[in-house]
Amino acid sequence: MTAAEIAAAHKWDIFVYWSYAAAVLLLGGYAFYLIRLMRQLKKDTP
Amino acid sequence: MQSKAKSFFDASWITPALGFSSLLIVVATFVFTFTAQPDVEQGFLTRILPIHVPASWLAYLAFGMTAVYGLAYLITRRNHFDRLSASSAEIGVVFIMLSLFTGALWGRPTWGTYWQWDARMTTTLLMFMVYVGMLMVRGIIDDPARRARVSAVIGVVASVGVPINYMSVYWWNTLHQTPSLSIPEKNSALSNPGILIAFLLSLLGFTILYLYLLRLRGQIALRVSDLESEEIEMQLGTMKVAQ
Repeated sequence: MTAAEIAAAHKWDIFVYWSYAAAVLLLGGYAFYLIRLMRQLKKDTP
Repeated sequence: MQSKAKSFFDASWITPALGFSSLLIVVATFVFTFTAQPDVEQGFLTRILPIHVPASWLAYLAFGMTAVYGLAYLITRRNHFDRLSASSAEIGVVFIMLSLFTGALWGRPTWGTYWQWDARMTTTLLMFMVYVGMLMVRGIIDDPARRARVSAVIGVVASVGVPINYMSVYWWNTLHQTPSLSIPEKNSALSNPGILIAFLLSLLGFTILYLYLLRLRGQIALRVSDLESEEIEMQLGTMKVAQ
């Protein structure tokens, strides 16, 4: 198997990292947004 | 006995404990996923499974709970259930977005396309649009009681989409495959033990994360609702003074 053939076989493997990055960004981002909102509300309301 | 139960569910340590444990389990999922051996047919792409499938299942759970809380609101008229129903719908939208995105990424190398108007994908997109619509409707109705009633009805009716979406791969012969793991059918396409452990861990981690987000979102909704009530009372007070 040549290097080019190996590279072609793994061409789409980058999508695995994109999927995990999306999970971290979406779920983590949403959780972070909620935590910040909660802190803001706690500060603004007695 | 009742006061003990109430103090347990209202305890302030539960929310951070849920958040921390979900974080730990999700990290463990990542470790198992990225140390698992590649699949014979799909190679490393099978590592998308521990994110894609639990995200879809959590969207089902969140939308199912939206309907349960919506129905509870319609029966009892307690605002608590309305807040939980709306919070669950919002969390479901986040999970279904993740499911759609990771599904498209998985589809390109395995099916040769990011998107196809097949039964599973189309019904998933429809569910996403319906619940985004529900949240938008909540945003345009000012009267809290009417907003809660309309939202609960939408939440209950829209939950029909969950079984339709799940059964779509059986009812229509389209591109999306049948479930990778089905306990009633005693069928598992997860022959890779590393991926199977990562999948089960991810399912547990996402479920705890859902509970964490639901508690947090519910607490925020309670504070916003208190602020809203104060605002209405102030407006009524101003009207009385003016009269």
